[in-house]
Amino acid sequence: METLVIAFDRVSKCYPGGVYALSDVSLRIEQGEWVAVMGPSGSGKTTLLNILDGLDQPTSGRIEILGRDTSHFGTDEWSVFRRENIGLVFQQFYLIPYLTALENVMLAQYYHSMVDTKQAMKTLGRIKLMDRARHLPSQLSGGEQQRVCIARALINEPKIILADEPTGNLDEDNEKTVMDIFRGLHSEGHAIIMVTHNPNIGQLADRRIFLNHGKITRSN
Amino acid sequence: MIGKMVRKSLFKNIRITLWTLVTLTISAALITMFATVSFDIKKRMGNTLRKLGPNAVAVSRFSENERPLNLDEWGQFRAIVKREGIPTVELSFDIVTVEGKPVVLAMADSEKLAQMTPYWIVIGHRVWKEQQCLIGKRVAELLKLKPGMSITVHQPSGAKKETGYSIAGIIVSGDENEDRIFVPEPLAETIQHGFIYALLSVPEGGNGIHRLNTQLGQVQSHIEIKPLREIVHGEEATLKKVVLLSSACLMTVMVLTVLGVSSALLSRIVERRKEFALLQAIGATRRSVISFLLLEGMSLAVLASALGFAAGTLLSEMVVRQIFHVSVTPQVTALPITLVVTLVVSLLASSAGVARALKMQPALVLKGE
Ligand SMILES: Nc1ncnc2c1ncn2[C@@H]1O[C@H](COP(=O)(O)OP(=O)(O)OP(=O)(O)O)[C@@H](O)[C@H]1O
Ligand SMILES: [Mg+2]
Repeated sequence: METLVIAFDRVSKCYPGGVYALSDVSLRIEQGEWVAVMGPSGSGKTTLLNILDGLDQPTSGRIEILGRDTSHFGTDEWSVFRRENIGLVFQQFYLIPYLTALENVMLAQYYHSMVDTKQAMKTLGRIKLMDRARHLPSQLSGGEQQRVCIARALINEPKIILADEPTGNLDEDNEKTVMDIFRGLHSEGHAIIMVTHNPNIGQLADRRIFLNHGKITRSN
Repeated sequence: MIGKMVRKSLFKNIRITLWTLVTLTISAALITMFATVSFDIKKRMGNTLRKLGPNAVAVSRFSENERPLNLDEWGQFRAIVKREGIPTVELSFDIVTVEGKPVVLAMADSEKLAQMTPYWIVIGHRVWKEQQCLIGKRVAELLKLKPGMSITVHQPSGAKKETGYSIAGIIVSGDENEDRIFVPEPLAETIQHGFIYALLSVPEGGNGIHRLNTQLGQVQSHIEIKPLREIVHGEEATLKKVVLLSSACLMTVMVLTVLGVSSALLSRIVERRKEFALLQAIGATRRSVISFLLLEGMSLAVLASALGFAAGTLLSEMVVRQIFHVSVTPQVTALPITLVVTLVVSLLASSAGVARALKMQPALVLKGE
């Protein structure tokens, strides 16, 4: 059982107003596994991810991540757990607008432990953005911004990478570049949970789970 | 890293930064001004009001008995006012004749007298030298005298019966001094049946006078200090009113500053809620978000204190020059006061924004759009 990174046991999320975004979801994800989360809009994909990264709390159910029961984590415990173990990539390319690409990456280092310019540059090299290190987000294309977000997510070598439609706002060329990066991460042994609408991307994953009205309807 | 971030974020949101900075600077300037002025306002006010004349007079407790003061008692009195550093001028009077006409002769130290009688208008020289005298306007008219002319004073009770003086100036004072001749003798110790008294300029008015009388009582002196009533009362009341009024102004300004700065900081935080949500998403604890925001507020406060101190010092210089016609000494102690109060103001103002930042749910904020 050492290789299990995520275990969901009958997890439900009911928003105030009675909407069940997730109901009775049970799910196990192994180390190094790439899982695509698919399903129609409003089916609970983002909710699932937010519960995984602790930005949202489940209404009921039991969750274990990397062998730790996260149900009782407070806000700050989650922050610490997240920076140690989870890298986040969003559909919008959330970067701090007044910091350069390099500084945005280094910010994650700062909150994790300590800044290391050399290592941050190396990570930017890995996503082929070394020459854009000193540019502000506004001086980068959407695809480049998303690559910076990915660099930030993996700078601290997290075991788990969560990505919510990382290519949702990108054109095909950029989508390909980003997916190549994810393939690399997968081969390095990071567990990846990625929300996507795109069946082609879904095919890259080891496994696909389909959500509908907050329930897993299919998994293959 | 965090310092760099604070600097860059302040520059990025330059409009709100400037607005906050200006507001804080104004309040810092007012604090500096208040501190600077209130540090020496008592002294200033006292000196200024005393320019209208002395505020107390030393007389014998037994003056109704017409008992002349004894010079030993006078010595005790002198020692006390000297120890307390109270500006004093001793005057002794005698009746003399000049060109056959009786005149009151006043003997006093010329410089001390000048300090105590700033309201006099003197035609000619105010401070006079030995063998010179000042004469009152009415004496001058009576005897048809002008500055530069010489007179001979016949003093039957003096050691020398006859002394010649040249006239340094003519006094226009609007009071009985216009009937007198002033000559430079510190105190006529040799005087036999003249009349001695002293004018004092006692700091802190009534309280100061009370303290002096207590000290005189302890040495069983027959000398008593009596306030020149109106001046003392006027001085205290005016001082109180000025302090009250300026405190009220300062409080109003501080409250407005806190409101203004906090609304600026709040809108700044609301505008940047994605940023704070993101910081938490990449692993910032609430504590680090708070310290980031407070650091931003503190940097602005420190900068504003420096600017405000400079502006406030200049401003108090202008105001004090307008009112008191003297230049103010810049008060270094006003700097830490300004810094501390500005920091507190900025902290109070920041706390609304910080509370707001912590209430935001990162998941919701990041989903928005
Ligand atoms: N804060 C909230 N309050 C109430 N209901 C919510 C909230 N957030 C999400 N929901 C509801 O929960 C359900 C699942 O939302 P979620 O964002 O997880 O969908 P999704 O699968 O990510 O959709 P999409 O593909 O459009 O991003 C939706 O019906 C949504 O309306
Ligand atoms: Mg979604």
